[in-house]
Amino acid sequence: MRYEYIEPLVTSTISVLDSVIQSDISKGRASLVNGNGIHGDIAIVIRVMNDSEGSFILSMETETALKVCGLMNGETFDSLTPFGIDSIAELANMIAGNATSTLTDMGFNFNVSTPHVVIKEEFRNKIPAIETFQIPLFTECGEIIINVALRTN
Amino acid sequence: MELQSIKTEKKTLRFLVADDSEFARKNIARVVAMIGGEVVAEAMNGVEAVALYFKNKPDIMLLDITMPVMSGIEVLKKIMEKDSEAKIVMVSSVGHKEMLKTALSIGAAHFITKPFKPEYAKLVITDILNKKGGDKNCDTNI
Repeated sequence: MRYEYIEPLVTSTISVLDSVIQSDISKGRASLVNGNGIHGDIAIVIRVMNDSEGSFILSMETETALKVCGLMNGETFDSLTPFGIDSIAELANMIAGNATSTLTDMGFNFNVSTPHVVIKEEFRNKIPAIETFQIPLFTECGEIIINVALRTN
Repeated sequence: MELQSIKTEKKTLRFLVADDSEFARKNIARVVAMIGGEVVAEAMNGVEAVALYFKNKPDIMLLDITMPVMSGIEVLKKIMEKDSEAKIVMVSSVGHKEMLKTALSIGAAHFITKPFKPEYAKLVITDILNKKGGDKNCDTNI
């Protein structure tokens, strides 16, 4: 994995979260995990292609997802409705898109897929088990974890 | 939040919103309403976007890039080929220089990177209407 990809992804995540949910955000300690070490109840997976192949994943607990949806839409969510899931997916889409733009302007060649949402029970089947760089972000909604699982081509 | 609206003396500006995310469409529709416009149709994919454009002939189209079935860039090409006067604003999270150049060279009127503030959208739309001679009855109230 090329670590120069990490900073734009982290910066974009913080920037978009700040803009969309307007919360105080602090970074936790980064770690490198092998295999499928995604934490949380829900993961938004965006496939990355070209210079590197793999995934950019945002993961969080359900309670955090509900609070984020609520702030994004100005209403309370008691459960993760399809619209709530779409909101979270769009959040991940904005983050990945912004990061891709930065990386492309830096000279890298990236394309990203549309996001898809994976629930905890499906993590093992739907998220490839490759080396993953994780950074937790602490927000007023709870912990949101950035997971970067990329293999350089 | 109150924004002064962009309205013509005779009509309300009609918008077509094309984005595969329901959240994004609702958010953009909210912004359109804030600036005094009306969303006449919403498209969830690129093929639908092209069809709805020619069915509704909106004043302005707000078009995402990353969409299923057909990308926003392909949609832009198809519409501009048949309607060179179309006013299409790309609204996307992917806003790197090459993408901007591509979109603008095909004929996009402007490019807005998500997430965006309503005030910025209003500035962009006002700019488009002023540049292309838009609607001469348009009162932008800036």
